[in-house]
Amino acid sequence: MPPGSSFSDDQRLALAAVIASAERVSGMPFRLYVGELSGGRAQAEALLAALGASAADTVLVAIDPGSRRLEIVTGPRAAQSLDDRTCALGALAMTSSFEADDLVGGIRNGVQLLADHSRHPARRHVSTF
Amino acid sequence: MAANIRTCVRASLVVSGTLAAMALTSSPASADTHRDDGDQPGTLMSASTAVLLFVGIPLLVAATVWLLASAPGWTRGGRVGATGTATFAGDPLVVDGSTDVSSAAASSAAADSSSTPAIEVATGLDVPPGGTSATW
Repeated sequence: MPPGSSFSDDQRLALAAVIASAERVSGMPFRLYVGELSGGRAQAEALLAALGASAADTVLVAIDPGSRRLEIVTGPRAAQSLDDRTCALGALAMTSSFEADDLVGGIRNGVQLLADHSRHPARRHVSTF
Repeated sequence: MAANIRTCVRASLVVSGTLAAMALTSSPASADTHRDDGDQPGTLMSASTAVLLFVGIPLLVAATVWLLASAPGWTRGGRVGATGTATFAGDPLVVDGSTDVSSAAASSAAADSSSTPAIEVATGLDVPPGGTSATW
């Protein structure tokens, strides 16, 4: 059975498009994980850390439909653009749809919200003289 | 001495005036204690009946509302299949920006990431990550 076989092809396409759109809008790499999260928050952080050098810039959205758990983990540099309050807002948007058994729709809404609300850090002017 | 007397007189006037005003405003209520012709007063309500009526029934209504509001959450507790399909197979799906927008590519990317160790991975992050947790 292929990974993510709970999703139809159309759903996988939709999720890939959502992530690609979020990266385009926010300028940050997004990563979506849907699967078992028995380790809870620590496992989600480990999944982010396993990305290596890009972990600091990445936003990981980890969802365990079995235990009805959602983790949004932002790398240290990504957290400068996407604070915890915005993540909580995105989590609320997702769980609202998840409660209605709409996993893909919840991911779409939540990830789009995270991307739209991510603010780029102020660029300091550097003297070129 | 004269000042004390004046103070006492003023205080007694205030008190008596207040009492008079109270008696005047409450007289309609006290009029109910007088029986008039044609009155048919009912039997007095016992203390237990009063408690049942004014405490028990409101509590019962509140408990019913709380039960109706909470019961759906209890029944959804162990349910899976939030994808809208019958069940969630449990195989992890990983999608990132490099995932080709095709089902085959998504599957292969997920296969690569599904072998990621869970907690044993060294974090390599000097600063703790941010984010949030939620359940539903």
